[in-house]
Amino acid sequence: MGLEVRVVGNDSGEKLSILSATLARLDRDAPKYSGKGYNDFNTFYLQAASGTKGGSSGSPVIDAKGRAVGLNAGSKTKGTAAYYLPLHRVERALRLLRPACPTVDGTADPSPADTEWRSVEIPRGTFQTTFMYKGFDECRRYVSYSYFRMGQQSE
Amino acid sequence: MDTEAALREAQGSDDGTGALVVEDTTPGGPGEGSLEVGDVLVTIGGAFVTDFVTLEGTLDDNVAIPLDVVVERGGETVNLVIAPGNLHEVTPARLLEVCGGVVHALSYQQARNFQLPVGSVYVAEPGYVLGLAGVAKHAIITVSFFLFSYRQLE
Repeated sequence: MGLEVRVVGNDSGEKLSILSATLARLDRDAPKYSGKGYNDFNTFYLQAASGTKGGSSGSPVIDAKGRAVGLNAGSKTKGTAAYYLPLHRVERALRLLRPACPTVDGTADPSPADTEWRSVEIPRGTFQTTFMYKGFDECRRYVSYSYFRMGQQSE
Repeated sequence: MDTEAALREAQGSDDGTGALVVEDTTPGGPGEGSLEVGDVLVTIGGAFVTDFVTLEGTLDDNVAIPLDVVVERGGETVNLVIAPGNLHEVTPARLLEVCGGVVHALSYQQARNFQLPVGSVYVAEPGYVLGLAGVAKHAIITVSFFLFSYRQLE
C-alpha cells in the first residue's frame, strides 16, 4: 500500500498514455461491474485513483523500477478509482503457458511464428461458491446471526 | 484455542484481520448443500485457508478430488467433504446460432449472477425469431422446452 505506480497503455484510445497513481488498497472486493455480465470473484483487487478508463484494460501497472505489480482491469464510471488484478494467479497461468511455445526455453531463438504451438492445460477448480473476506468482527456477527436463525438466544 | 485465534495465528501477527466467509453458492454446484451463506472458512485439506490466493491455489490443484473442508457455522465447527468442479466445464466454448440469434449453455459466470444451475440454454442474442417471441437478451430457457421448440422449427 502507498506504492507509486504508473499505468502504461492506450487510455481512451490514445496511442500511448501513462497515468500515475498511489496504491490505496490491496484488499478491495472484486468489483461488481454488472448484474448480468462478467464479474470476477474470489480474489482481491488493488485499488488506486489512476482515473484510467476504457482502453487501459490489460495494461501493466508498474512500480518505479518497472516491475509489474498489477493488471489494469476496470474502474468506477463516476470517479477516479481503478481496479487492478493482483498477479499471483496471472504468474501461474503464464508459467503453465510457457511450454505452449517450444522455442521459449532459453536455448533456441524465439521465433514463435515458425514453430508449432502445443496446447496446454491450465487447471481451474471451483466450488461454485463465492467467498468474501470479512473482518473478524463481522465474522463474529455471522455466528450470532446463525444462532438467531436457529432460534437460540444471542446478544 | 478458539477458531478466531487459530485463524489470526495462521495469518501471522500483522495480517490476521479477517477470514473468508461464504457469500453465495450456485444451485447444482459442488458447494451447494454443503456450504451455507455465512460459513466462516477454517481449513481445506487440513491447512488454514484465510486468503483468496491460497483458496484458488487449493481449488485449481485439486479438480475432482474430494477435499476435507472445515467451516465454522453458528459457533459450531462443521466438517464437510467437497470435490472442486472443473471451471472449464462450466464455461461454454461453443454457441448455437439460431434464427439470427445466439444461444449457449449457461456459464458459471451467469449462473452465479442469476442463481440458477449451469447448463440451461442462455440467450446471448435473441435475434429475429426469439425477439419476435418476446424472449429478451439474458433470458434462460429450460433445456427440454428449447429442444422441443427447436425440433418444431425443423
